[in-house]
Amino acid sequence: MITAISGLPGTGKTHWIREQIAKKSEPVTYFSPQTESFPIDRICLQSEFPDLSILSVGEEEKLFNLAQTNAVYIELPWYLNLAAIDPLLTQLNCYRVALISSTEHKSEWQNWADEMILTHPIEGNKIIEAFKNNQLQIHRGNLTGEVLDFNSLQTFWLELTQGAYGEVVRVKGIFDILDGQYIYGEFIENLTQKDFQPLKFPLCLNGRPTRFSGIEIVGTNLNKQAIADTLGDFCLSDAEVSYYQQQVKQSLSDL
Amino acid sequence: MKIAVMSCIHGNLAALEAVLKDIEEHSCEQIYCLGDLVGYGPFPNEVVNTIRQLKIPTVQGCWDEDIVEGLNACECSYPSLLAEKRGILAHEWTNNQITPENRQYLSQLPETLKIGNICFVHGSPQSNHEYLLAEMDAFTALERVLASEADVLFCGHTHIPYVRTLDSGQLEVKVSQPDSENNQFLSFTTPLKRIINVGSVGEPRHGRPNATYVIYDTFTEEFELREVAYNYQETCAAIIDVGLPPIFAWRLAKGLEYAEKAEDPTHICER
Repeated sequence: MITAISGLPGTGKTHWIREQIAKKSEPVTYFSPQTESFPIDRICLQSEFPDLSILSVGEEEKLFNLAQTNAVYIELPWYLNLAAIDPLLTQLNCYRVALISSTEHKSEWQNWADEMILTHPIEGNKIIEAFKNNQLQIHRGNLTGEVLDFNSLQTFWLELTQGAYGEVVRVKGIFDILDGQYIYGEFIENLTQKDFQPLKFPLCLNGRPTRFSGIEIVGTNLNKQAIADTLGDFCLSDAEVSYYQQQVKQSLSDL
Repeated sequence: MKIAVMSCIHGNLAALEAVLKDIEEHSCEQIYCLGDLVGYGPFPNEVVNTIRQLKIPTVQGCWDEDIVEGLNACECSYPSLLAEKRGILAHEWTNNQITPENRQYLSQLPETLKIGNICFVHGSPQSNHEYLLAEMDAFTALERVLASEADVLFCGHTHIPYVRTLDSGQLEVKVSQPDSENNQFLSFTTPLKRIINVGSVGEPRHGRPNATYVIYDTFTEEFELREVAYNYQETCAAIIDVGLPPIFAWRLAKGLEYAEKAEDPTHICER
């Protein structure tokens, strides 16, 4: 079966898919259009489910055949034009799931969804209002190749999520940090915040990482220049990257 | 005698004026200042001028020292790359603003002041860079007070006010001599000691923008931690007007301090 999942930012689309995958005994395929250049959710799922197969844009025709043997999940980001992708979903005979964060806007999804699921009851009005008024901004910072100072990242994260650079409703990011770890962080307004989580990928200890890293911020009145400048303030130099990598290698060899 | 003790003004003139007014309303006979008159805030000269005009006995803070001697600490002084970049930026701005007279004034400030059984320091009796945190182990805390040869040690630097009473400390010391198998045990008790951290006037770190200081009665040994609200928005606007990073204004408004304290607060840079 092919399941298409949609919902506003922070409603828990990836989390819901993760729960479904954990229950499946058959192989699972994941596809998320318009996220290829910024695959945060995909990398998180791959960290937890290394056998997950991923489809890329242009491989949509494979979906129908895969659905004979695999459970297929299509995650539709909130900024995707649902009308534009509707023909494909119809052609694939997808089961459509809408994740909603409050009961107040069920009507928005009634014509689209086969099933509506109320996830965490966050105060969604602010997001919904901003979304309706086209005020929600998205800022993406691609940090691939950069290694970050973790203490600085924590300071920046606190400032960002408490409103220093605009009103933020959702943040997610994947970062390479100075001890070689590959970590994931997320923020959803009005929800208890979690610590950064290490992803289950090898440490990067040989030069600059080539794997994806980046941050995606959703909110209003975002000061994108200040965000970019501050991030730039704690990217390590080549010499610093090399120094820390040597330190970690040394400590690992001492074990 | 009722005294007022304040610290860590950091160029925040509006906060200083509010605290001075509060001190006046409480009829304190003497004011002491534990340093860090400058750094991060937009009015370094105005703050130093006020302290000088009022002839407030003041010890030298780490920021005052750095403005006189230049930044010479290793990265250990900062908990992160971001804090270091912001600290250097604030230092350079302050260094360009401070007048020669005020730099001279900062250079001659003593590291400690001793009045009777009371000692005034910025960080600790050993260094104006050392943090005497409330959670510091009791032995070390007692050692710091004993080193000051006082019963009451006033300090600042951490920007979080607290009072810690070290009640009749029992100390036991083991003396080992290389050519003897017998260890010598020495045991003695100390009288009640107290550490009073007065928090920060201009750069609080207690989650609110309000200034803090302490009123202490030298006869009754009673103390009062004072928290004074003031027009912090005025300082925030000035931070932006003079060209300091706007994030300083945001952090001040949140009571977050401009930079976090060092990761290992007991580490003293030896440069």
